Amino acid sequence: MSEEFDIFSDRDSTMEDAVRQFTICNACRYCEGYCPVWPEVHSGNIITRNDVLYYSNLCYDHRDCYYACPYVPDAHEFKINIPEVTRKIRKKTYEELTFNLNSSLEKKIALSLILVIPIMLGWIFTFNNIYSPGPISFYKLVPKYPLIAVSSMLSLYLLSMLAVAGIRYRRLVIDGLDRGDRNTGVGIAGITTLLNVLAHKWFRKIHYPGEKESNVRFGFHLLIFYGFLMDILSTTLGFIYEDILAIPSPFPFYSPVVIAGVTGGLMLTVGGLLGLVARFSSRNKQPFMTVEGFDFLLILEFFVVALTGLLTLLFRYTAGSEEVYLMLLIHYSAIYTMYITAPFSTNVLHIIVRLMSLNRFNNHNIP
Amino acid sequence: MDAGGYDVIVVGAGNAALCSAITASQKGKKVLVLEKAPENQRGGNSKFTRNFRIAHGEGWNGFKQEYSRDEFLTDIKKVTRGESNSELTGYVVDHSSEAVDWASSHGVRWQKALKSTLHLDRTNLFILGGGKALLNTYFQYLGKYDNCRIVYDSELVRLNVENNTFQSLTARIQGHEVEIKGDSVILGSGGFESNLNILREAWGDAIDNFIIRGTSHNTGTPMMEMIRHGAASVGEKNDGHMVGVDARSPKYDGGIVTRVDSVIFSIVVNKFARRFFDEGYDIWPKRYAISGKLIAQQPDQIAFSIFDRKSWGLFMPPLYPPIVENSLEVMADKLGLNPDELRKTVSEYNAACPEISHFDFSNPDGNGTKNIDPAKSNWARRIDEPPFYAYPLRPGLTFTYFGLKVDNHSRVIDQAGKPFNNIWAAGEIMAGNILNGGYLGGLGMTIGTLFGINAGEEALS
Repeated sequence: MSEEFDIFSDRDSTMEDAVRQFTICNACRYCEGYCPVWPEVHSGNIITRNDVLYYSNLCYDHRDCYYACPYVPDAHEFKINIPEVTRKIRKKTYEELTFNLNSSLEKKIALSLILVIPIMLGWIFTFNNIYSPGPISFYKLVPKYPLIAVSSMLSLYLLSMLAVAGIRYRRLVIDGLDRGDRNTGVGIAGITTLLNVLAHKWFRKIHYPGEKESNVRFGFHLLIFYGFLMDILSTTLGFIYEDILAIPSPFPFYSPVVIAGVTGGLMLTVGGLLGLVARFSSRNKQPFMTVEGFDFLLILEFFVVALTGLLTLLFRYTAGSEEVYLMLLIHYSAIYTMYITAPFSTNVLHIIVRLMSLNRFNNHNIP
Repeated sequence: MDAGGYDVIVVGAGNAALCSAITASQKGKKVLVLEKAPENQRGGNSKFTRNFRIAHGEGWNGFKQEYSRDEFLTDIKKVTRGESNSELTGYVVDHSSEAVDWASSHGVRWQKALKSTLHLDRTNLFILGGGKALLNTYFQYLGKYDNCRIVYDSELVRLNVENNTFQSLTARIQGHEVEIKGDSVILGSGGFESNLNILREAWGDAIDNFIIRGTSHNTGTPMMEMIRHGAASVGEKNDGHMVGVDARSPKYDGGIVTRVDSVIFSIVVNKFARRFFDEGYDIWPKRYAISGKLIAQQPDQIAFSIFDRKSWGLFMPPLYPPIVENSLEVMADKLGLNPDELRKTVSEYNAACPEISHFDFSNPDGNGTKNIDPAKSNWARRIDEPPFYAYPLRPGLTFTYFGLKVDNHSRVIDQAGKPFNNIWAAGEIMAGNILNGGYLGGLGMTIGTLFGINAGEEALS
């Protein structure tokens, strides 16, 4: 690990303790079959700080290893608690990947709203056309091209932040690993990684939200993951309809655009709600540190975005035009808040970090 | 605490005890499990186990090669003294695969042989997550039965036996002594490896320098109570599975991670900085099981495995970092050895090392020393490139072999060979009937499971 990226100062004992813990794990090896972390830990003899960064970011927080361990803090002086120590290290890693905004969830949301509210107010005063005669059209609130312009800017911002995070993660962790294949390109390993992700291979039967094994996280992650993809599909179809096939919006409820959008929205709402309930019910139930606001920001935002989207649609059929536009305004605000805060959320950063870590694992383990 | 009316009382809560408790509970009997440890340390030494040894055909549970019953029997004979109960031994070998089937059907899952244990991948099936995961599965399973009660922090004080028949037992539960009656009792309470008083009879004060690798709760009271009531025993009290472990390990409960694998890569010296055995006699698994007893015979039961830069990183490192120094003199100081003596031992050893052309750690490579006693038969490589590394070693007692003699139904028998009417033993407490004075990896779990189930069934009939 290069000096510049040695994110753990000597005063911070977390990394030192993690190396100690993984060294004991490497002398035991009972957990080898649980998840990708263990074959990686056991593939070498000496555990370095760089290795620990990689293991921690490869960790899915299944907690199988915690419950199988005879050396947990509650029962033994070795005080092994891998889920907790890896979570602390993940938090620290993620903070290094984007602007280091070492602040609470509330501050992040407040900060993004300070940015979003003027945008929204500016729009309304500039473009607002909702009292003009004619049927309800979403472009009356904000016309198409300004909408596309702002959305594109925010998308570009998010994608560049993710790219920066990926490059930093590669320099910080992956490049420093000295065992085996360093190639992180595509190939059989890359395809395997993609299939693992699509199938949610490492999500089944895990100790979440309580000690008992369940598919709760598998369920809500699957709903959010595919719900999001459905909404991307809906937006893409909308673009094709309007700009290629020249069918003007709003689309009727039986249109594939709306069907995909509603399905995705429902999946995100249910998945997000399930995720939030699970997150909160897991608090204080587990012998693990909870990092407040750290790991559910995006779930909350997904939930709000999806819910307001669905309500906008519902209002189109049941309420007056003012309610529709108000809900649409809230929906837009929620989307932009989500975009702005996304690079600071574990939920977004983990997409790139997990993908790269899992791909490194597959590269290392697939002949 | 309910003082009576139990159909079956199970003493202990390790693998064998839980197999008995589950079997009895499934039949609807009123079962009491007395666990000496508090809940967070439950399960005895089973939490440090990791696999089952079973005879099997090719393809069974994913095995690529057969492990025949004959081969299994031969392996047992190789490690024991030939005083084993052949009927029990034959039973275990013939039924070994049933132990795995039973565990599977009660929720235990399996994994491929661990990366460091490839020598066992033909003979042993590994528990996913190891012994504590298996125990958790069984405790969870047992939790479904209202007719079974588990009491933690409850230590057996006395077994009350009349006319070869169990009447009741006295237990200290959270500080209070209570008498509990039951129709039968199953002793699944392990050996006595954490009872320093009994070990002192066998080892003298040397025991103070031993590391007890297993739980601190195996004090052997149930076993000794049965002996007080005239039960016959098997094995010797000074017999046990003993390996060289890191001297810095905790006195109790360090488990698997305390072992040190550097021996064949090093020279091992005692407190006088003299070598005392052939460090390169054989490859790891075999060497490992001998070094403990040899260290136990050295003054103050301390030894040091010393090697140089060339060997660092070649073996699975133990839980603690090595002691690293650039000169042997400073190293000697740090280890409390006489620097001149250490220098002399290393020089003599280096002078006896051969010129090495081919070096192979996976097999005995024939690179042996010449004209030195003791010799190092393989992997004799000079120790001359700083930095120098050392691990301090002590004898680590894994478990004891001494136990209760049982009949073919796992019933405890008295010195006249007559069985006690309603007292069974299962697991480590009786494993010495099969593993007389020796050990074969993974057999303990197979024995514990099969006799645990048997005792549970027999206790009801």
